[in-house]
Amino acid sequence: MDAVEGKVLIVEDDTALRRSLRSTLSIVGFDIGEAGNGEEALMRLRMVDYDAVLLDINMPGMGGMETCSRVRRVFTRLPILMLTVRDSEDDKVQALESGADDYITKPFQVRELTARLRAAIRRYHAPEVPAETPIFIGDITLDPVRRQVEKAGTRIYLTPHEFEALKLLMSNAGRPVTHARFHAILRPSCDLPDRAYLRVLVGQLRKKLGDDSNKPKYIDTDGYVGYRFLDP
Amino acid sequence: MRSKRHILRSAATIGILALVSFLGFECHARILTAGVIDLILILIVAFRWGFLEGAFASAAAVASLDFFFMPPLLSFYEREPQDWIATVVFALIALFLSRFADSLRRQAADTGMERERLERLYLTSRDIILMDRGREIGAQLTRLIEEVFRADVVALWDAREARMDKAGSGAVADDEVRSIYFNELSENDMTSCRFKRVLRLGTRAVGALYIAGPDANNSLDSRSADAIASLAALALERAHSFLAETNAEAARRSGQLRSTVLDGLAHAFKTPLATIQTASAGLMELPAISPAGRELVSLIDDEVGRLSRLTNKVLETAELDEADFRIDYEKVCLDEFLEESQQTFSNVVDDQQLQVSQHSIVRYVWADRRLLQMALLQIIDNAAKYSRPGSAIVFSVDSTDSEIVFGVRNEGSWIAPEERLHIFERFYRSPEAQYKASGNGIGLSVTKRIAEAHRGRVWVESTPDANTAFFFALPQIHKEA
Repeated sequence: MDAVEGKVLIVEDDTALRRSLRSTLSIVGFDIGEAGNGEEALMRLRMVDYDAVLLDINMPGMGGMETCSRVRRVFTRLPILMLTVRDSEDDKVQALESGADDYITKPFQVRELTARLRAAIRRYHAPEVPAETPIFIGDITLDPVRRQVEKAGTRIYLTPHEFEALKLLMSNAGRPVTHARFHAILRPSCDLPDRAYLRVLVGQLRKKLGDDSNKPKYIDTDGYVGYRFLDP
Repeated sequence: MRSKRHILRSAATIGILALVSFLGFECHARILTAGVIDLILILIVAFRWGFLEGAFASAAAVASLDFFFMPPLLSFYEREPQDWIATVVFALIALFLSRFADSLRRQAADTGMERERLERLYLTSRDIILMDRGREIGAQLTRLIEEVFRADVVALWDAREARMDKAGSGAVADDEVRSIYFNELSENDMTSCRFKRVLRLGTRAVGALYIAGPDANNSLDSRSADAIASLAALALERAHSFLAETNAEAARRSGQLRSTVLDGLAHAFKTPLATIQTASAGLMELPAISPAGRELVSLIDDEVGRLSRLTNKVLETAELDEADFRIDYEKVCLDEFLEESQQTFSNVVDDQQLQVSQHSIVRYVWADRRLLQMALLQIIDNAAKYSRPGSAIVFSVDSTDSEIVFGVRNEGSWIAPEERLHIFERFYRSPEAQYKASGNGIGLSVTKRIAEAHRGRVWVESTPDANTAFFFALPQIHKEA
């Protein structure tokens, strides 16, 4: 608890929530900076090196989405977590498209928020690895060059589409992957993302990995948005 | 009156014909000329006044021709047999002509009358369409019929509203009009020109119409009365359905307004809820918190969690009430769906055991997967809340000819018949259940809304020995697109 978990910039126009987040996250061990709107956030980011940004989607002035894409233009790798209100897919997908790494919907459990923040910061500080390096997450190993997947040393045979989907999920472990991103890789010639196809594909993947959709160990369904490979 | 006019006209006819023949005689006209002139006169008389006058004119013509033109002149006596024959032939032709002219006259009169009737019916139907739907329909209707058909009295009984409307100078007893409806009468009294009609839509009687017209030359006949009766029935029905529609529209709007308000409130709640949640989590992490403090903070945490769930639920239902709410139809494989959902369903069942039985011979249902799961989850959750601990909850899937029926059967909690309609209303909670089980009265309204959006239905069956079953049925659609 004493160790500094990382520097987080909270961008939130609601003073009460900002204060409450500041206090709680500092108690938990984060080093907190605050901004009341998008403009202020951009200014602070230029002055201080933060490890992550917690950004409210609804703000007067520049607004969360706009702020997000501006931050992303300057800081290509800085983790951005969006705070959304609406439990509908549009906001979340839009947030992810404008460059956010992840989102969390109000009201939220602080435990979940801190877990997401920690994971994002850890990814941020992890050394950049070449795209062709094998990925190890939990007991699953994916080798992009040999196109092989192993679970606890046992080879798992996947179809090309399953392999691509798993690769996409695992290289974004911990972060949501939208239907549209799957679609762009799997079926670029079709116009519309085919949710049903994706569901069947992920179902197959789960079966082969020995996963349960109700208590997922590997692949979690992200309500209306897409899927997420769980980062233990 | 009528006969006097006939006599006068006949006398005038005889006079005219005698005069014309006399003039012809004086001018030394030929018999042929006189005969043709007479025939023309007969034609005119018969066409103007009718057959009787025509017949008199014919007789007068025969007599005067004989008198003035046939030898011996100035006598009715005829010597030659061919004169007799000519006279008889002339008489026959004259009579035939009068008959012909008379029937022409009648036809013309009938056509005129028919046209007038049609015009009036047309006016009536047009005015019925133009009637002000905001005002009392019965009063407008009676006044309209009275004006167009110049009736003495028009009375209309609207059975559904139990309302009597009258127009015109005459009088009629209310009971007489009502008896038309109750006895389903359809009578014409042509002598006093009264028409009684029960108003029907299809086979259903909806009211009664009574029209008493002016006596003579009435433009109203039995067929017109029938037509007016059907028009009146239609107008009443139209007014009623307009009213029902307006009420339904008002209800829909108020429902929509309510969900807009709820939606706004729920969103406004989210940030403060997040604030409290964050603050209580922060408190919990403080190293120096006392056990009592910890207890209190966890209380805050629990209650905030409850409020959050409620808020989310309200938002979920508000989404279903939105005007642009759309269903993402897809072909859902039942077996796969059940396998996928079983765990989710079991999660809401704490103390009971969930048994799933699949009898549907139909393999697929055309539905919004997410909404279908949400709807079924609500009924199972409901069953779990109200059934005896330890009892079984049976979830079944059956198919009929036209529907796929999901049923959830549980023991305990009898639902009285008068409550069965209300339980699907939002925020309704049975008076007894209020203290028995936790809940917010939202769940079942969601189920109903989802069923309606799929053109399906929900209903509940409950027996006093406390077996309750909820059903959620979706139409079977074979077509895939």
